[in-house]
Amino acid sequence: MEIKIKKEKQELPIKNTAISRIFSYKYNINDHDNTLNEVLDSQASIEVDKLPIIIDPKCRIGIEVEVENIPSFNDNIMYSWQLHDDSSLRNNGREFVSFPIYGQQIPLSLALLFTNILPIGYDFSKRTSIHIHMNVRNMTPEQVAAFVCLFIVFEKLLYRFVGNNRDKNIFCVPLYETQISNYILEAMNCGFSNVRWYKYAGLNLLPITTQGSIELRQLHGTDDVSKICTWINLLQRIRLHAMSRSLDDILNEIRDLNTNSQYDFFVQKIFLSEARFLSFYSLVNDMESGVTCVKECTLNNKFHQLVLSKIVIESELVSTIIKIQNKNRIGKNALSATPTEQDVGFISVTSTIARPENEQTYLNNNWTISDGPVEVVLSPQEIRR
Amino acid sequence: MAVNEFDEFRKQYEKTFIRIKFENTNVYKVVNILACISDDEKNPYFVIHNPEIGQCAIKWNDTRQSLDYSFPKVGLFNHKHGFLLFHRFPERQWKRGITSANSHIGNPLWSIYTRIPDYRRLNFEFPSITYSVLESAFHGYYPTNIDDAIYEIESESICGVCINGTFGITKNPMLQKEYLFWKSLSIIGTVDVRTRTIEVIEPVFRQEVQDFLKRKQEFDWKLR
Repeated sequence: MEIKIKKEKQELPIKNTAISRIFSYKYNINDHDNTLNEVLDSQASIEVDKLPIIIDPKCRIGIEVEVENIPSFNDNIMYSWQLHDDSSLRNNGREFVSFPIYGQQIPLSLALLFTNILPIGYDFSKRTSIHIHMNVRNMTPEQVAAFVCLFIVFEKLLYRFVGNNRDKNIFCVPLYETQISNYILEAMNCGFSNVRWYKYAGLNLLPITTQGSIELRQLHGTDDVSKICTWINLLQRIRLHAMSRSLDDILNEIRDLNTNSQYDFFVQKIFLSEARFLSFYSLVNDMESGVTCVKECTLNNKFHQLVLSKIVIESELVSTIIKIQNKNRIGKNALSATPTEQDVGFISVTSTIARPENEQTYLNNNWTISDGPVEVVLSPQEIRR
Repeated sequence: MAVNEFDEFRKQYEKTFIRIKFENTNVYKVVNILACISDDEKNPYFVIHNPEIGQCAIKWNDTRQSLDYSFPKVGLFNHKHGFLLFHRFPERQWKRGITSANSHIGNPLWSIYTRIPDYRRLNFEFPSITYSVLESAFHGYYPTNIDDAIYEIESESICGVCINGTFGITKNPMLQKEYLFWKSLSIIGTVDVRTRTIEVIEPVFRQEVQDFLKRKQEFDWKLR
């Protein structure tokens, strides 16, 4: 008799399951495809030949363009764009958000926005920026984590490409200046469903749960279609590499970089023809810290855990800590350096400024104003508040 | 004077820390901007506080060139009895000056504090952003070499010293005599003064330590 062994269908771990199977999204990314293609093809006024080529024609991208000085605009030909309010902008600022577009729809939609929709005199002030949403619904959490790790390695190079001191901006903080990349493996293992992340990181993972995309916030406001498309192509190169190998392979590649110093080769390997847009001027410095950052955030530090499990009160460190703590018990701030009365204590200094006409504001705030030159004195409670 | 510009300044920097270069000393000092006052549109001013100079009002028009809005360099810095880590924090807020909403101070030794028996009695407080911490972070004092770092740890009542923005050395919380070698918030190895050896237990960071020794020209320290 033939015995049939029933094989149980083994479920994939969540980190190897497509994002689209982990989350259910209200919005179908194909919804606007047919109309978009027809309408964009009919835009005879745009010189299609001169538009940059998008290297991954299948990867869907959402683009958010913040722009100021838009008292009115041509809303008859919005096609791939929707209008969103943005309270962070001034001077009739608006945010134009694209549908998830792909391939040549991307440069065409951008050209359409800048040449036909926006009015003359639109302004990309320092408050404006362009955010790229990259579709990750067809990626697994492991591939997204690989993307993040590769992104960290090249982050300084990418900020250098973007320019405009965007690495100093508080609305797109580089991962290498924060500690949040330490959460990447934890986020991957829970399928990004409970991710500890922050919207104003340059690379924002929060939209994975709501839109199935990751947001890249680095680019400043610009109407340079070539620069925007090059930026998208650079990101797509990282994405393609992240999808072509396992996370372990990518991490091994990254970990070896500081030993073999083949930074140049690695950049060429990932970015191919787009490598020419990146600055090789301080490549080693720029990439070394990224590599170290990836090592740190993907390390399971057993030695640290071992030390923590063997702490003894008689040890030199612990006895020093206790000695310092007892010595500073009154000050309280020996190790923690939290503000104390001494820190906040103040001497009032008479300034040389002229006496302003309207003193009501200060009086309302219970500040003391003496005759003659103004002397502004706040109480310690006021200072703390 | 563009009132708008001062208004932006108020929104972005009031109740935060920035640095001001004072003419008499020509050095930058960390100050807290307590208030920005623009009722007199021609001559707006802001009120600052610093423990050394106390509290004073400063004309906006005259001092704009003397203001430094930059953040301290991200990484380890020595402060009082140990070393701390400065890093940025991408939370939603309008403030661009240094504040706890956009910057954090980490204490590498915190994980050890919490393992000390009856640690609550010792009343540790989590490090926060103050004048003195920021001055230390901006000043970025580091010992010139590993021997100086060890000397400081031995001769003063301190827990540890960072040698640069990445690596630090502390006394050991176990009974062994070796010092611990840290990379940012993680313990990655040990430092044995008798044999002049740094043992990197976490092999992934071996290359970084090797590069560090080479750049610092610490040729008489061996790496294991």
